[in-house]
Amino acid sequence: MSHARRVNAVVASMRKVSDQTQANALAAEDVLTALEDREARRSTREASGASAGNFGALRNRLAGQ
Amino acid sequence: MKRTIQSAERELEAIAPGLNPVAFRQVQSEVDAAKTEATRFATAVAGDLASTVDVAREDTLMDLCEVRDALAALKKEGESGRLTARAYAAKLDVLRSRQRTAENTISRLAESAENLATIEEDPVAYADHFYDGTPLLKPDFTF
Repeated sequence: MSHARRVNAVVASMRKVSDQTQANALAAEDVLTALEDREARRSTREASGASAGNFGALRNRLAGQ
Repeated sequence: MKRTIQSAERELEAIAPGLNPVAFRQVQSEVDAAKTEATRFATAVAGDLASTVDVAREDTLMDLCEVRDALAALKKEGESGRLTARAYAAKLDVLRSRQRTAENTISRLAESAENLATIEEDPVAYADHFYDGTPLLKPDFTF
């Protein structure tokens, strides 16, 4: 077999692994997006929870006056 | 005189009608010897290039397999919720960078395959083209 044909076969086999790697990378990117979304939702929830808490405290203080 | 094989062949064609058979054989044997040397040179270059490819192939394939498996493991870790998005993104960046490096190497190997095909298709033309850009390496002819 010529060098060129052998190297072409090598490159083809490497491209197969490369395709698998790219598929895994894309799946991993999706998980990152899901993690970021989840953290964003949690921090929004916490922020709104904190505001509700502040509002409740203020209301109690006013009611006490 | 130093010249490319192509130029020597053109010259031989031009002067051949004025040469006696002995002189013609002498001049023709110079061209044949230059072609033999050009083929030897191109074959050596192809051998070196193929060896370089073999070394790069082993390292790159190993790295690519590691990155592929590490990406799958990272995905599982991310899905388990044990990592923050920031920590996950940092790990993903490192793997993506290694993946890009491997991809670049694969592109270079594909170029090497093309170069090898060019050399093997016509070793004399390859060497002659190389000589053309390197005057000192051009073969010497008596004509």
